[in-house]
Amino acid sequence: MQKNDEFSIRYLMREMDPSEEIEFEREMMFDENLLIEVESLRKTYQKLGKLPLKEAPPDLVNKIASDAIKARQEQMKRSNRWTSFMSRSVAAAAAAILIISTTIYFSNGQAYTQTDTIQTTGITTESIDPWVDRSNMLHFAGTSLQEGNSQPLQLEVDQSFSKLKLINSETGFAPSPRKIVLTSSSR
Amino acid sequence: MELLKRHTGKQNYSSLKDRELVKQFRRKADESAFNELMNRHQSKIYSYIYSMIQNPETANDIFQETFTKVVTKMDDTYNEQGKWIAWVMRIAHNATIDHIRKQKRYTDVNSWYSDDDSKTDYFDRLEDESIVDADDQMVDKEMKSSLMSHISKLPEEQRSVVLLRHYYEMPFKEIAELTNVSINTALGRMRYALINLRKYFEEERQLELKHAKK
Repeated sequence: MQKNDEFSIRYLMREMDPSEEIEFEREMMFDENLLIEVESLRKTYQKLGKLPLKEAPPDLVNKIASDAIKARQEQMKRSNRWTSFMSRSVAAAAAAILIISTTIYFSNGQAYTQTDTIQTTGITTESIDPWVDRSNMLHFAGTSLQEGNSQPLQLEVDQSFSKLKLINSETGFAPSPRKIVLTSSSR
Repeated sequence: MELLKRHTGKQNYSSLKDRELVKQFRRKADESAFNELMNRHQSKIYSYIYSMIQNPETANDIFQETFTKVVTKMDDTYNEQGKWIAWVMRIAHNATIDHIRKQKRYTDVNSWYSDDDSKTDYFDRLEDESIVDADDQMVDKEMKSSLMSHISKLPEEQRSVVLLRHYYEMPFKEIAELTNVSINTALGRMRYALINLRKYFEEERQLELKHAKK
């Protein structure tokens, strides 16, 4: 489509900016053929104004309206049913999760208690391995100083003390002499 | 229509915008809201379909199909921000074009047959002119209104642009979107439609002059 063809139809359909409209009108004043073409198209377009507006048959309109209402109500019922089903399902799922998690929690609690008991009683029968940490601290893991159970522990303590040696020379532990550190200065 | 008027009289629905009426219908299946929408737009939608199809029975079917789709698709494809009527028009336009294309395909497929049996089938389908019923005569009478008959002679694409513009005063941007073409193409179609109509009116005038001379 040529530029003027497009402009002429846009002008007729009033789809131009006011500035474009003025420009186009000016152009028509200088171009007679363009003016004739636009006027002829305008006349034809005006004839379209007589196109009749047809009413749909009233019984058809009423039928459509009643069908639409029924269909909509049906849709709403369905969506309500779905929503209530979903909410019931969610509630049921939540309840199930709650029950399961509670069951797990309590059964685990019982297991912990049982383990503790086993550990506590186990200490008395097993031999104890003392160990020394980096700071030369002596540790007795899982010690229990209850009466009656303290005998093996005491034995271990005695044995560990016998491993200790007396220090003969103190020089070995003498602090290192202070050293003078030379640093540079900008002064 | 009386039923519609009765239902819409309850509240002041006429002052509500399309968007609000649609909302009422969607949320509460409000009958009066739907009737008000129908009262406002049915004649334009129907006129568009009728002018495109030029057959009252088919136009009724497409009109009904349009509103069935409007109700069923409302939740899925209608965006409340957009113009309701433009959305309905898109459905009406698509239903109309689908029908025209199906008809075209039907005609094309039948015209391809070349064997004798098929030819018989094809001609059997043609109506006997002597048994045209009263309804068809009425249709024929309406079709003879020159403007409508000229419109019906236009190619489908040009016809839809003319009718969308006439019945809805639709901007070319919207026409272009609805018909899936560029604005320039839509404008071009309008121009060719006007040129064709001018030619048909001129032919008609010449024919009338000829008859007058006789």
